[in-house]
Amino acid sequence: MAILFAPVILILGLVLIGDSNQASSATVPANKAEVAVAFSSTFAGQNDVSPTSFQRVLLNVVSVRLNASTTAGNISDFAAGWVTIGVPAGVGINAGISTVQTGNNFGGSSGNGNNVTIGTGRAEIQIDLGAIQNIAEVFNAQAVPARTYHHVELVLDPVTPGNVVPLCPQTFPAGEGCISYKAQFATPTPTPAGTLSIQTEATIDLSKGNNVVTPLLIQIDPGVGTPPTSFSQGVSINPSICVPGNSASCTPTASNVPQLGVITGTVTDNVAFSSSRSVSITALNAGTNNIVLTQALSNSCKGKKTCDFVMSLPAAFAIAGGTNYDFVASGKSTSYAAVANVNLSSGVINSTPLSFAVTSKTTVSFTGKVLDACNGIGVPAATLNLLVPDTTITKDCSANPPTGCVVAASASTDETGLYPLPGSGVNPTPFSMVPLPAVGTSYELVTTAAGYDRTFVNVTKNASSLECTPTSTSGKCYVGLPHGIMTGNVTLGGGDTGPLSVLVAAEDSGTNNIENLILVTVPSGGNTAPFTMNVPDDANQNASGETIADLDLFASTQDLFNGAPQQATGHTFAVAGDIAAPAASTSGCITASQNPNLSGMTCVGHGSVAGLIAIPAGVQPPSTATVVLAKDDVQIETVGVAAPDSLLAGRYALCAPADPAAYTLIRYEVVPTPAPGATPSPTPTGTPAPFPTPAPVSSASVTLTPPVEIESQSPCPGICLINPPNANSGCLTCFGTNGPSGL
Amino acid sequence: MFLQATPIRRGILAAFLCGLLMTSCGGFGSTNTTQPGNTPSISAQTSFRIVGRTGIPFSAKISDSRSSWNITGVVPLSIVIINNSPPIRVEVNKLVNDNSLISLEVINGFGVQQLASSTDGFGVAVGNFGKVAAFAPPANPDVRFFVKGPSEELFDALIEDTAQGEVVESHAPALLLFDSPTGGNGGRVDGTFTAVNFLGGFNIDLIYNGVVVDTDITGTTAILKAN
Repeated sequence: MAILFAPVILILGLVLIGDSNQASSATVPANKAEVAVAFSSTFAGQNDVSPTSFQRVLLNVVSVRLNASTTAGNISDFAAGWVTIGVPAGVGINAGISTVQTGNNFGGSSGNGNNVTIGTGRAEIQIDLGAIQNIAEVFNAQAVPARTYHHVELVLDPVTPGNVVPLCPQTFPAGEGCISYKAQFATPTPTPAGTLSIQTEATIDLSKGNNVVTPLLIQIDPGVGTPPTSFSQGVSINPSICVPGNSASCTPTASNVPQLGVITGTVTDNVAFSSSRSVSITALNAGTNNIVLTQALSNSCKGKKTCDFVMSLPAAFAIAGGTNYDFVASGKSTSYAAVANVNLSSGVINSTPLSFAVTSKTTVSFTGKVLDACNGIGVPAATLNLLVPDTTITKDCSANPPTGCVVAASASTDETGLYPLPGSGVNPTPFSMVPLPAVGTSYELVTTAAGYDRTFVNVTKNASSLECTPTSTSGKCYVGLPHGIMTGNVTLGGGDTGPLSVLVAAEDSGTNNIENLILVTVPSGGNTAPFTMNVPDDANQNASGETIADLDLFASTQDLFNGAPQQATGHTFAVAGDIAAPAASTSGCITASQNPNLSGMTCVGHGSVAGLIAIPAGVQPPSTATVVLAKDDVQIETVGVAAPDSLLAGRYALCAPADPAAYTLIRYEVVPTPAPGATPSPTPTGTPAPFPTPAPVSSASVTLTPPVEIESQSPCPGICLINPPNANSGCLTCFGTNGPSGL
Repeated sequence: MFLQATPIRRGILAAFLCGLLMTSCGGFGSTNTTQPGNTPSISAQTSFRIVGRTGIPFSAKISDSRSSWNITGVVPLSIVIINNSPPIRVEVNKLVNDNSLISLEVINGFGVQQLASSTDGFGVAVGNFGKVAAFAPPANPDVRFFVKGPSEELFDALIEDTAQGEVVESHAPALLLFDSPTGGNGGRVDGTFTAVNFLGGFNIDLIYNGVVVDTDITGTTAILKAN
C-alpha cells in the first residue's frame, strides 16, 4: 500500500510546491555564489585502453555535484552537503537562483536533478567527448551556497552512462563497427546499479559571495576500454575527472587541455544601474546567434553609472587561432551596445578591456509572421536574428555578410509561421524588449529557414514603435522568404527494394554548406521514389555573401542494425553535382530545370577510415582543422581533428559505406592570424579580428576496405545481409582502413 | 494508461492518479484490489526530449507500429505519443549548418531509454525503443496538441476521445501526438490542460491534419476540442 501512495504524495507535492527550477531571479542572495561549469575532454588517462579504436565516445550526464567536506579521497554519494548543479532547466534559464544563463536547454528536471517528474523522465545531456577535445563546452551556471568546496562529482546515467561508436576492426573476433554500443562501467557497483558517479578532489573557492561568477572547468577522461568482440556486448568505460590547475590528478598537464579564456570589460550608462534596469552581457559565437553565456552585471554596480565585469568563456588555443566572440550589452529600458568579433585564446585574459556604452531607452516589442513568398503559407521553425552594429566598425548591417554586426535578439516561428514563441514569467518572450533605435539608425532583421533564401528586412523607429519595411503595420514584421524547388528521384541499386527511408540533402556546390534535406521513403517492393524539396533560388546569397548558382545533391539510406536505426549508412551514397539552382522569380517559385536521379544506392556494408593529418615536425596541429569526405566532388561528411598536444593529436576518424569507388578526403583549415608559432599581438577594442574561414589545404584519395564474412560468429545481424545466404550464414563485419598519407 | 471516459473535470485527478498507478503496477484489474474496472494494461507512455542549443530548427520523423509523424520545430521541444503502440523509431535532423548540439532523449514510462546527439551541420540523431522496422504510414487522422507556452510551464493534461483518455505531464513547449483516436475511425477529441507552475497564460493549438482547428491562449487551464 505504501508503494501505491508514494506516487500520489509525489504528485500532490509537485502540485503544491511547483518546480523549484522555476525560482529564477536576477538577484543572487548574499549567502550564495555563482559557479559556471564547463567540460573539456582528454583521452590520455591510464584507463584509456584503446581510444584510437573508436569514432565517437559519448557520456550521458545527469549533473555535477560539489561537496565542502574536507575528508580526503572519495566521499559517499549519500554524504551530507552535496550541492547539485543539474542540466539547464529552461530556455536559457538555469536551475536555481542565478544571474548567469547559457544558450542551451537540456530539458531540466524538478528538484535536484536526480528527481524524476511524473511522466517526463529525468533530463540528461549527451556529451560528445571528441567535440570538446579542442574547446570546452559550458554545461550550466548556478548559484550555490557560498563556501569553499573540496570535492567535485560527475553524475552519469545509472543505466546507460554513455554510448560509443567503434571504428571498423582490423583484428577479429570483433563486433560490427560504426554502430552505437552502450557503454557500461568497468565495475558495476553497487548492484543493482544505483547512481554511478565519478569524483575528484579540488579546492573550489566560492566563498567570495554574490558579486563574482567563478568558472569551474572539469576535464573528463572516459577511460574507454577495448572495442567489443560481439555486436551484443557493451563497451567498458572507467571515467575520471579532474580540475585543471587544481586537482593533483590532472593528466596531462593543465596547459595541454583547453581552458577558459577571460574577457574583462566596462559598461557605462547615462543613468545609474538599478534592479528595475538590470543590464546583462551576452557572449555569442562570432557571426551567429549561438549564445554561449549571458551574465548580469554584479549586484555591487547598482546605484553606479560604471560597472566592470569579468566573463570566463571557452576558447581554443592561441596557436590554433583562438575563438572569436560577439558581445552585446542589453537590458530592460536600455539601448543595445555591441562589440563584434573579439578573439579570445585558451587560458588568456584579453589585453584590452571591452567597452560598452548603454543609455536609458524605451523598449518595445514586435511580432509577425514568416511566409513562403511563393504561396503565402507560414514557414515553421524559421529563425529571425535582429542585428545591431558595433558602431566602432559599421553603422549599417544591411550588407551580406554583415561585418561588424552582432545578433542582439533571436526568435523562432511556430508551426504556422508566427513569431515569437511564447515566453513566460521567468523567461521573457523574444523581441519583447527591443530598444527603439536612435534617430538616423536602424536594425536589420535577418530571417533564415532551411530551403529558403536568406532574407534581410530593415527595422526602423516609427514614433513609439518599430516598423519593418515593407510591413505597413507598426509593431508587426511580416517576412516573405523566396525559394526554388528541386525535384528528382532516389533509386536503390543491387536489387534492393523498399520499404527503406532515404535522406536527400542539397548543398552549395563544392562546399559542405547544406541548404536543406528531406526524408523520403522507397515503398515496399519498389526500388525508387520521387522527391520534392525547397532549395534557395539562384539569387540567394549564403552567410558569406556568395551567390549560389549551383547545388550538389547526395542521398543516403537510413539503415537498421539488429532492429536499431544507425547514423552511419551501409548503402553507397548517391550523388549528383553541379545542379543549377532554380531561377529566382517574383511570380511564384521556379522548379529547377534538371531532375536529378540519385541512383545506385547499393548495400555494401560499413567501412571506416582513420589516420593522422600531416604535421610538419615541431608544429602543433591546428584545432580548427577538419577532414571532409567527398564522392565525385560532392562533399558528404565532415569530422574534426583531435586537439594539439592530445594523445590523439592530429587524428581524424570517419565512418562511411565501403564503396568500391574511391572517396576523396579533403583537409580544411582556418589559417590563423598571426601564423602558428608567432606571438599574438593585442587586439584593440573595436578592431574586428579576422573572421575564421576554413579553406582546403590538401586532399588524398582513399578506397575503403569492404566487410568480411566472419563465420565463427554466425548467425548474427548485419547492416547488410549476405545475399544470397550461404550455408554458414556468417556475419558480415566491416573492416577498418588506415588513412592515406599526404593529407 | 487508459480509463473509461468520464466528465472531464471530475476525471482529471482520478485519471492522473490511475495513470500513475497503472504505470507502476500494471493496470486496473490486475493489481488493484479494489478493482474499479477491468481496463487492460497498456504500454507505458513514450516521450521524447529534443534539446540542446535553444532555437535550433529541426525536422523529425517519429513512428510507432501504427503511425508516423513528420515534425518541424525548434529546440527545446518535448514530444509525447498518446495511445502509443511500440516499438518506437525516431530520427531527428538539424536544419542548421553549425556545430551546435542537438540531443535526443527517448523516454518510456519513467525511464530514460536512450540518448543520441549530433554536433554536425544538418546532423542526424536516431533513436528507438524496441526493435523497429520501416517507418509506419503517416498518421491518419493526424491529431496534435501543441502547447507552445508559457515556456517552461509544467502542465498536466487529459487527452481523450470518445472511448478512452490518457494523462500526461510535460513541460512546454510540448507536442502531444494522438495516435489513432477512436481507433482511427474519426470522432470527437478533446484535451484538458492544467498549469502547475502558473508562469503565464497557456498558448495551445489543436491541429487536425495540418490545420489549426482550435486555439486557447487564456488562463492556466484550457480545454480544446475537435469533432
